Amino acid sequence: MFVRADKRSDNSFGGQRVDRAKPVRFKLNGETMIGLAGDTLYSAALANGYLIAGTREAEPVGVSANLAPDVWVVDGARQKRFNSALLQVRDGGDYWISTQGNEDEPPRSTNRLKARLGRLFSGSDASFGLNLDHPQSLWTRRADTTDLTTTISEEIETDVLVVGGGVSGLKAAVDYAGQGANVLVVEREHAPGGFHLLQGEGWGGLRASEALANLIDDVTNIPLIDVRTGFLVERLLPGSAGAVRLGGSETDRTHVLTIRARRIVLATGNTEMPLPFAGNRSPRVVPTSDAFRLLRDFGLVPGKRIAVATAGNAGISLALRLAEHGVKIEKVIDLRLAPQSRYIDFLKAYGVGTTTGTRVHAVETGKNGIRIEMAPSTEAIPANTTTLEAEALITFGGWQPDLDLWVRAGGAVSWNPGHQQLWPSGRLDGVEFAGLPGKASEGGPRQNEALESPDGCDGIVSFVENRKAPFLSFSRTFVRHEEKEQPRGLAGTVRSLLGRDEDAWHAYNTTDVFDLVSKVRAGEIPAEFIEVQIDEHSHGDLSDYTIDRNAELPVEMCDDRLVENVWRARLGGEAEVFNISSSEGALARGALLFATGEEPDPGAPLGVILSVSDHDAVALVRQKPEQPGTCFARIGERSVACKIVGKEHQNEEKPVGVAEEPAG
Amino acid sequence: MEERDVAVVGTSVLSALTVLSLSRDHGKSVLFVTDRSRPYRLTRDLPANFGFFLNPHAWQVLKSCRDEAQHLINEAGGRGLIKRRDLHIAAVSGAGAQALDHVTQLARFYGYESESVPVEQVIKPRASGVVRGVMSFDPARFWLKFFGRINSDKITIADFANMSVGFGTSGGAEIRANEQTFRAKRIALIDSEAISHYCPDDLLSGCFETGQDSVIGLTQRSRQRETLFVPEFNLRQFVSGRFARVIGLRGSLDEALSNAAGLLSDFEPGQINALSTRSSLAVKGGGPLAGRAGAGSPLLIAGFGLTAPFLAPALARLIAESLRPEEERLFEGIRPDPDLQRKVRDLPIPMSRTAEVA
Repeated sequence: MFVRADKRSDNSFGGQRVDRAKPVRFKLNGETMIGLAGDTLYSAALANGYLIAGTREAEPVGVSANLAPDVWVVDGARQKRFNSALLQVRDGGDYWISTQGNEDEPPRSTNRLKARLGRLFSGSDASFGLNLDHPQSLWTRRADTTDLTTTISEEIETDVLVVGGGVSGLKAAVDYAGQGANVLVVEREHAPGGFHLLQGEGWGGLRASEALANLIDDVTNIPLIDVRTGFLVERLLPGSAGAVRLGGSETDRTHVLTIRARRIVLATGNTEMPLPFAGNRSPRVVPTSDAFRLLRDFGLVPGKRIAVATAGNAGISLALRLAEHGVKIEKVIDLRLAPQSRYIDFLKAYGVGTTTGTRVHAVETGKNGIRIEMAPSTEAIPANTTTLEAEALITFGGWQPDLDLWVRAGGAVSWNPGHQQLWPSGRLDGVEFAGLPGKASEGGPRQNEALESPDGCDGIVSFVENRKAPFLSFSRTFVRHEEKEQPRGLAGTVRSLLGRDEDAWHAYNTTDVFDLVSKVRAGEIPAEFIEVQIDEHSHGDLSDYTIDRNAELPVEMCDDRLVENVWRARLGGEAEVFNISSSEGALARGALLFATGEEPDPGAPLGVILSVSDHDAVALVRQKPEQPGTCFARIGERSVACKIVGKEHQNEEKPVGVAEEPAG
Repeated sequence: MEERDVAVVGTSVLSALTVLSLSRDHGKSVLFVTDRSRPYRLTRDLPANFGFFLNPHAWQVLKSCRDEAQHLINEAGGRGLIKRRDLHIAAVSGAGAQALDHVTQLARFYGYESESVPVEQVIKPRASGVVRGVMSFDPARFWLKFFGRINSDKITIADFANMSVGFGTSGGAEIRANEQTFRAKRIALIDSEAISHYCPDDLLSGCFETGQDSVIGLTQRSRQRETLFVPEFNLRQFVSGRFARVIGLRGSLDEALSNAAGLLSDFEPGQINALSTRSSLAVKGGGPLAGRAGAGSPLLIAGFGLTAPFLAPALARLIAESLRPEEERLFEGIRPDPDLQRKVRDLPIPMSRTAEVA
């Protein structure tokens, strides 16, 4: 259960956005709760016992920022929907979780009794109640960006656009401003800094936090640099980009930026990869980057007794931060055989030991804590496992550079076997990267690889009998590692009948970079194919492409008498166009005509109806029908008797059936 | 030298299913020359050949193959792959609307629930119809499973990019692949990628003409119908494993973007997440096409579009020379003929060759 961490005397890290002296009282699903001024509804809900986002394939999934639900804000008779991770909670607020993602949804559809019962059965852990088998649960009000009445649109022209306000992005901004360029920095979080406080180093004899504060001061004081926070860059092409900041309250309107820039610097940093063990998205399993943001912004920690499982130094660094805030770290489980990091030494000062060469095999979440099964990281099928209990498990599976925008802009990629990461390759005119490993001089300072072991990945995926396979990423895609055995027999049939709507879920997977990297690391797909797949994501420069919706479409049908000519060829050259009529029912264009009304042979029709007018029609009919003057039109499973009235005199200039408006 | 009954060269789902059927149902040893990177590429399966659906024999064969095809797909791609979807068809020209009505009637004749539906503002249609409960599946998902599930000792898989072939005089071939030489009694080239790379020049220029196809992957779901087919542009919109929606259509990059924007009211270039353009082959005078041009010719199979996977059992019988009577009638009309230069209305029987919309 998430609780507020102890406040540090210098207040330099945990809870930067909240005011611990100002409690706010609000209602969520009819239940009164207390948060802090500065909390989002999401963070306040977590502080009040919400640990479960919803269910996927009948199993509970733990909360994470990208599964934060939308909520309805009730203000008298008016209701409006916002995303709970953006919405600032206010005193006296009345909020209802949206579980249907539907603008027409009645705001109080989440039954108060249901919420209470859910809490009763899961102990103190409440659930947002999302049905994660259906993507609609997570539709955010993205559609509002097209609603000009609630959206601010702004066009910006600049010399340099820096995407990402971490240390690398800020350093690049200072460098370009030093050359006299106007620079726009767009950062998706509420403040610049990125993950630097998680694992960055200081420079100039300063600690990391001091060095970052100085850098932010520099950026703030340079008039040529404009920093926009809270904006997510959604599209990028050489020379242009689009960013959006969704409104977080009724007075905070959605803001859309259209940016033109001579040069674009991608400083998009890294995204965390999951450790691949059974239950790796269960409640009480918290990714390091989520835990870092919750501690930094809201002073929240997922418990007072925590275990950390890591494949890199970021997990150990976070453990250190948690220990500084009064959290007891039960154990740090590092799958690397002999990791080296200054954080390991710092942790020793707090009496925290690190177990190396060990990985998580599986976890089991209970009402009050989590049971962690551990195994040697060199054994795919462990001979023996040991267990550990804690209130929560924080995991870190390594970083993957975020290449989404690079790939969308048409950039190529290559697999880096040393780092087990996908890296950008080749060049894109006017687009560059800052902050990649090994390119420290181009961006900000990086961790010292001579002193710090690189992230590791043992490539072992823990499949556990009777448990579902691990997830590949923390995204909304919910793609799992391939199970070793496909369920067959009754289990397979049941699963098939249940009809997991995976297609719809995958629809959210705008890029497969992280899923694919996870698969390559686990040896499920060859590394060379990832480049093929990503190559097909690229689409090059479409910046000058505009839509003319009024342009005439070039309709290129080869033959305006298509059906007639096809059937002339089939029926023989002597077929002719006749008028026919029926007193039995309406005729239909395209219906076949037969000599008999019972069990007609579709391979031997008499003709075809070319156009209709109520009970009359024009039809192409084979000459010399067996029963002159009569025929039967097959309309679905019904035969309708028709009378051949006489020959139609066709206008050679006007194709049959084309001049009329189509039926239906 | 290794001996095989049949060599199948192809990178489409149809080629994979045909190989499986040849091995499983006909006991043939098969060399399958294909591309293992296919699961990671955008789908190449565009609809093609609306005219094919104007042929009652095509519906008859589709219906008779349905159960067999379903078993094959389940075996190769895993259970639960096939979904039942409503296929929405929109026509933008008068002639297209006329053809659409005819297809709707034929579909009903063969037991599919289909109807004309009110014209919607999806595009600028003259008419729209729906065939309900059509079986469909995501080719990307099929391929991801396929290579892991094919473990028959009767099937040898070889790399498409590193193959050379010498055609014999009786429909067989010598193939150099996997650093081995294979002799196959029969060889089939299935779909445009295999045909454009390995078909003898005279057959290639006589039976096919080149064009371009484009595939666009988008990040946003559609407010409109997700399984949509616009015959005049060979446009197909569907949900795929990797994207919110995928639009495949005929034409170069510029044409495809322009036509997609003109046809689909919610198409925005800013949503593009993937784009692939490639050269494609179209059967001259329309398609599809299946069979041999002469005794020494390789078997050519192309242009069956969306229906192709569901015709795999019949095409395997064509290769194994054990066709059923209704299949004989269908394939008789669509044999490759490099000398064929006649126009639509001169053709006596093979309407499926005459009715292609492009």
